[in-house]
Amino acid sequence: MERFELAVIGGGPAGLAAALEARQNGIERIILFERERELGGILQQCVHSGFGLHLFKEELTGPEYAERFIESVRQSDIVCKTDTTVLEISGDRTVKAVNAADGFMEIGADALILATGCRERTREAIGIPGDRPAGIFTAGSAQRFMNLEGYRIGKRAVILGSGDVGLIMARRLTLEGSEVAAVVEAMPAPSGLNRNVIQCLDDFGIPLLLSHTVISTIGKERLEGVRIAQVDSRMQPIAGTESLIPCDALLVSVGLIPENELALQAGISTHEDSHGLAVDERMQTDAEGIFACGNAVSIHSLADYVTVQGRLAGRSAASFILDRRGRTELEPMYQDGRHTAK
Amino acid sequence: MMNQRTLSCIVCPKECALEVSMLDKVVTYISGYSCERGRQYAHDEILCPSRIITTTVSIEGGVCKRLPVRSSSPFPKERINEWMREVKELRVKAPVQVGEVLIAGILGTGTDVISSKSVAQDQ
Repeated sequence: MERFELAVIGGGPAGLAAALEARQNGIERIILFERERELGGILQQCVHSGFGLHLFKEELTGPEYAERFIESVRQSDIVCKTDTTVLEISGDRTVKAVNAADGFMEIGADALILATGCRERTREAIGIPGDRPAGIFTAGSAQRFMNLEGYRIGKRAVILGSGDVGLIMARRLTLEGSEVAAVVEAMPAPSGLNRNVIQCLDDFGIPLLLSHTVISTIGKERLEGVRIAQVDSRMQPIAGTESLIPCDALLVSVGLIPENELALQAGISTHEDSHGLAVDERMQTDAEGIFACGNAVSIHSLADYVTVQGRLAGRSAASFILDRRGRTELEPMYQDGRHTAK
Repeated sequence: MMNQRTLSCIVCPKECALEVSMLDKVVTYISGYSCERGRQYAHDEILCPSRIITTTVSIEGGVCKRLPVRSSSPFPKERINEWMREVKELRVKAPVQVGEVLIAGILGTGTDVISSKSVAQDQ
């Protein structure tokens, strides 16, 4: 089994920052696992601008922001395993992973950092009745299809939920020549940042229907429309307010959930309400030497904040490793009895 | 004529409430901002609302299928559709560097269309 000082799982903004920070703090043998072909995580599909305002004092797009860190990682001796899926981690800090080039690998590390990000809540999770026709996407997967794969999502779309990804996709769809019939939000106020409501919806005259929700989908092979209704303060549809919006795409942007399957398998604690990993002030989980950062801990509204947290996890992991090394180097002295009280 | 407008700043997520006073078409007073970028935004938003526009274009021979591109600086909002039509015609061949100018001075403006990403040639 190959040994490293630090293994980082996830090559998005959190993992990149954590690995670089640990390297700068004197950790020499670092391995980073990423399941996609490219490093950068979700930043690669976030082609809009607004990243880096806090950290770099300039307005960057997601890929540009990612590249600043990826470039530093490339210039360092951090071992990057892209296109690699981590299958399992364990409390004693071994990692089992697989990819096409190396096959199965098992590595041991003095410390682990989990930077596994988050997933989107799906249409099934919120229980919209109707068949399962083509044309229903989570906003992030639609973003991936458009921005990375180059597919058109639909001619006329409805977006359910006013989270930031949904708002940003409303603008993307409009710019690419699709019509966005409406953004439908069950709450009385938009859930995304106000700056996104202004520059994604208001700029393009896209209607935002607050206190409304999608009550069913229509269409068997391809989505043909959605039925919407106004909701009351308990989020229940109000009878008599139903209407039909014809559309061939529905984008669901109803929240993000930390992705912690690996941690859960290893018996690491998460918060019951948010599913985020439970960490102390140094970003250590309840498993000694296993740290966590980014959206795997809690959902962040800005990538800059994820980077800051990743750096903290990287520093903490570094001091944990150096501390342990210090202790093992001291051990021979203990053994020769000089420190033993007579 | 004296005129006052309230804006919500979109420069960063702090979203300061901005008050802009105007006399005819001249901005006379701006308040509510907490940084220089915010003050500039309030000024420009009244006189010539501009945005950084981003999209993707197809790229040949690279390790990825789409190349993210952007305007090098804020571009007048009302000409976004013209910008999109022009940029859609763009054909890029890998390799390309981040920040590389793909269209200089698009539509007679001072802003360029630049690559948002470095893409290596596919081996």
